[in-house]
Amino acid sequence: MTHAQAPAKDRAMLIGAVLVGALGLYVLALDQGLLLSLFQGEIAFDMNLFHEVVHDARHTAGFPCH
Amino acid sequence: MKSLAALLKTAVLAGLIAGVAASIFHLVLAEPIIERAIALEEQQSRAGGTSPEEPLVSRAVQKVGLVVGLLLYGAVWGLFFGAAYRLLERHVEARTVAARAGLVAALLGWSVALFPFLKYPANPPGVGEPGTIGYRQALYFGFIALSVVGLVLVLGVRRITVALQTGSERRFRPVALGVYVLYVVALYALMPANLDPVDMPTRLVWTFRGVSFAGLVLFWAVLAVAFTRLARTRAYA
Repeated sequence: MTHAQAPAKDRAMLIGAVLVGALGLYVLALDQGLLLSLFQGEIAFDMNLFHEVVHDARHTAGFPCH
Repeated sequence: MKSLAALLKTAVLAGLIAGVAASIFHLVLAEPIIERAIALEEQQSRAGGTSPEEPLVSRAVQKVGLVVGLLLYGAVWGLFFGAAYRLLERHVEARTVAARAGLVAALLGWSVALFPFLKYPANPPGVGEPGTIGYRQALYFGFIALSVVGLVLVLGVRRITVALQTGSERRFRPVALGVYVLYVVALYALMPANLDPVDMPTRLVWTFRGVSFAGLVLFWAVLAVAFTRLARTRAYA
């Protein structure tokens, strides 16, 4: 690998890491059914599965919860 | 550390270790408070004539979910920590891995967890109106974003100062600190408060907040220590 390629590859990897981190953070802290509604339909908002499963972690980590 | 992939892997692993530590801490200290809060919440709704709703996910599963969630917390912040470490390592004058990891963990942990906590402290179950969840999430993550912006601004100013060689590192420090303190105070004062009522015993709420805050401090401290150890044993240091 040349020196010119390394920074470009690193930059892509950093952006990828931030995107993956943002998705993880969304599921952990923000999702209220939206993501699963893509698969389950409207009922996902009532079930709110991600929220219910990580419920205690949201509270202890200080994320807003119902 | 040489390759970015190895750095990120090490950082995520350190985050997972910190997530395990926080899980054990909260299974012992936070879970009993959560149980009490949920019992009180059910008592209140029974007294109000409504039967408590049947949960989709049982309490037993939610306790497993605590660990799953905190491991995810560890992986996510480990990843961001790794990215921040790479972006900062050339710009901080810390010479050892331990000092760099400690500095990055302190800056990031303060910006995304501890400082937001001071404005919007954690609450036990039973506090928080379902109707305002979107608004509170927007406030909380807006606050985190602006908090990180403040950090980036100060680091940017530092870089420019160094590049212009208008002053030594020593002269820069009080200026940067002053700018940052002003920014932080303004952010804290200007962001709208969370106005949800807190209908739980004060003591229970504040005990939960104390435990929650301690858990965050523990997480970021273990992350820094674990990263340092792993980086050393993997001979990157």
